[in-house]
Amino acid sequence: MSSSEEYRTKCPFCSVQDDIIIKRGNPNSALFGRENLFQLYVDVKSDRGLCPRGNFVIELITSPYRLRKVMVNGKVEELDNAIKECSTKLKKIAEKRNEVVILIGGNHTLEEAYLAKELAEKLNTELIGLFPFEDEALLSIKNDFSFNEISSSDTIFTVGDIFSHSPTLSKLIIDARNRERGNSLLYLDIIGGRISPFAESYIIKPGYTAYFLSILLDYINNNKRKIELEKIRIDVPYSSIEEIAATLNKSKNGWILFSNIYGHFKNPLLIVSLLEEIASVTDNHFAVIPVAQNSLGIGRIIGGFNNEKIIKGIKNEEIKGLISFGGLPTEFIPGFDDFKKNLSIVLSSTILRKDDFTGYLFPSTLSVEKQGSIISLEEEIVTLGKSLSPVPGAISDGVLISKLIKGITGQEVKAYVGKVEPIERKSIGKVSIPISEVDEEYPFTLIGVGLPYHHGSGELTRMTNWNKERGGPYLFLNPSQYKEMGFGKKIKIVTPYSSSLLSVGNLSESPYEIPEGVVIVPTHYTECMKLFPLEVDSDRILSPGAVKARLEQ
Amino acid sequence: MNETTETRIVLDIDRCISCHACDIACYESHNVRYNLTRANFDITVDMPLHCKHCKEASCVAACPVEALEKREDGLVYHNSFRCIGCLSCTYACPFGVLKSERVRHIISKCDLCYDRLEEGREPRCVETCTSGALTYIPITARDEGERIRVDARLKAKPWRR
Repeated sequence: MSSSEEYRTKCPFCSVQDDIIIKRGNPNSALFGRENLFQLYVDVKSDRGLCPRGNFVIELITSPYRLRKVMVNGKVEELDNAIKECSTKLKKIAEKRNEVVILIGGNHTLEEAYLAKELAEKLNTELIGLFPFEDEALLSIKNDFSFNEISSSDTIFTVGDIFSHSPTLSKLIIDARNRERGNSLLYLDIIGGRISPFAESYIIKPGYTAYFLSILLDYINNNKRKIELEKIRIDVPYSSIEEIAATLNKSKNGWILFSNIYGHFKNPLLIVSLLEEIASVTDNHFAVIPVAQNSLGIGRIIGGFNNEKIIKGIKNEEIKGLISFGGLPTEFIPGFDDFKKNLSIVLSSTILRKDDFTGYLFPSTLSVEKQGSIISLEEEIVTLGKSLSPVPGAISDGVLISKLIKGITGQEVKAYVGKVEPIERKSIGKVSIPISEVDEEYPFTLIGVGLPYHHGSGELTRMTNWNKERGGPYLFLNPSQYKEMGFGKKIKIVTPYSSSLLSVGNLSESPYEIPEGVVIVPTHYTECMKLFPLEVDSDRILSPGAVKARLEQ
Repeated sequence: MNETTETRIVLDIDRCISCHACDIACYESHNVRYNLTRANFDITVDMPLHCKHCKEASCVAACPVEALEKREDGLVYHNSFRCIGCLSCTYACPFGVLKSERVRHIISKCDLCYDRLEEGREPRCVETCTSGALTYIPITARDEGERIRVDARLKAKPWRR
């Protein structure tokens, strides 16, 4: 088993960019039944805690649904062949100006964004856009923002449910509200959210947020339009305008925060400009909290508002090639399936599998598997820190882009994204093991599980008929690997702790999708239990995690 | 009594935003198993419920196979291997925090992340709490905390939703 290692990096999900520590190799925190070969767990460094998405990063890293192979129209393809094919097609399309579109997600590093821009130049296009599209609003905003100052403010006016979108800011916001009697927390949205019980909530009719804010701005500017808001069914009385304006005017150190998710508000750009104006007039700070980790940085590098042009171009059949990094175009372009027939090439990189995707699909990495830099909401350049090795087969978008540039122009471009080259497979005898930490002596990873079947009968022995039919301890391994090895029906499994002769279970009945290099045994058999460093009274007995192992005939 | 006996996880109900970060941290760090129970009422209450690690734990008395034990350091410890899933403890628990696992047919309960306590750290749910609602504090510190929280509660106007 590998020794414990710490990876200090940034949470890959939202723009709050919490520091996280991912530890690997802790025997007390094993996971099972999934393709985590490294015994990972996530730990928290930040004072702001870590939200459910942040905690979920560990599950995403080790998810069996991660894409690990290059897929072309649903079929597995070698990386180099796919790059070659794509490069040839893209080169041909790029002969005409602006016929290729590049979309890049907000969870990339600055280095990757620069590379994407360079790729756009090589492809003779200026059509490069950021998605989710509304985050482009940030391009026009100078965030007047510091996390540390939130807790000392006397008024917070939030538009959008910031507790749901960026929960780790909640502690600072609640601290600010509770710090002194008279401090205010105002909340404007089209639907009640997590922040509602803590705030003076103003829930208005969907689609009318910008209108409401324009009346508020007028009121603050002493242009008091007495409009009976109830009559136009905006759902709040005009007195709410007066309340909000009074609170913002009297605040000495107030914050106006806009937190949006794609598609929530009707006119997000207009809302942003109105809020910025309100903040300016009332002498309060203003900040937009984007959803993606590095939207601010990516937006500033790619520049321009191209998304409207891009969508129109695709709809009008002016675009021939579409490249999207960090997500599938089907997720971000409404009605994409109707337009894709107009495109001669669709290239996408993504984290999770999508077997029915038409086009070229490359396995991508999370930002915890990269090195590089991002821009924080305080507008400082911060580095991601130490990166994990990416899962076998996955490559970062930086590496993918540099390979595409090389394929198109023949030029070598270095991807400054850390150690993200695909992990090479090692051959041990007839078997190639696609994991980085192959131990020559123990090339397999043995995972012990408490199979659910044997608890069903309620017997104290916990042996059901399903177990009894097997007649003794058994193991599961990858069927194709088992076939390749040519072993018989009994296999001796050796770990640093002990060894046992086990029969091979019926692999078609295996409850798990077992990757190559992994062996699974049910630990309720003594023969299996002794392969692990366990004692009977250990609480970890039902899922003792993983140890290294080797198989012998 | 030593430090663990005197120290408990305390939930400030006026701070919990129901983000479920504690749930997920617990789930990810306990072999993909939920040790926390949720308190759900209507749609307005959705908060974590922890085992109180009672001084005279009725669950320990109810367990027929000694799968639950009151340790010297105050922790009510659950041994998964001994548990037969009879659910006697879930009926005995006065707070309703013990629950059964559907798949494994054993009960699951909070272990205070004792592996961390031994390192001098806080339980995972406390460390990951986004709003500062969960704290790991000495029992005697609670009175002062509650007084402050009542003040804060009065400021909120949930009826406005």
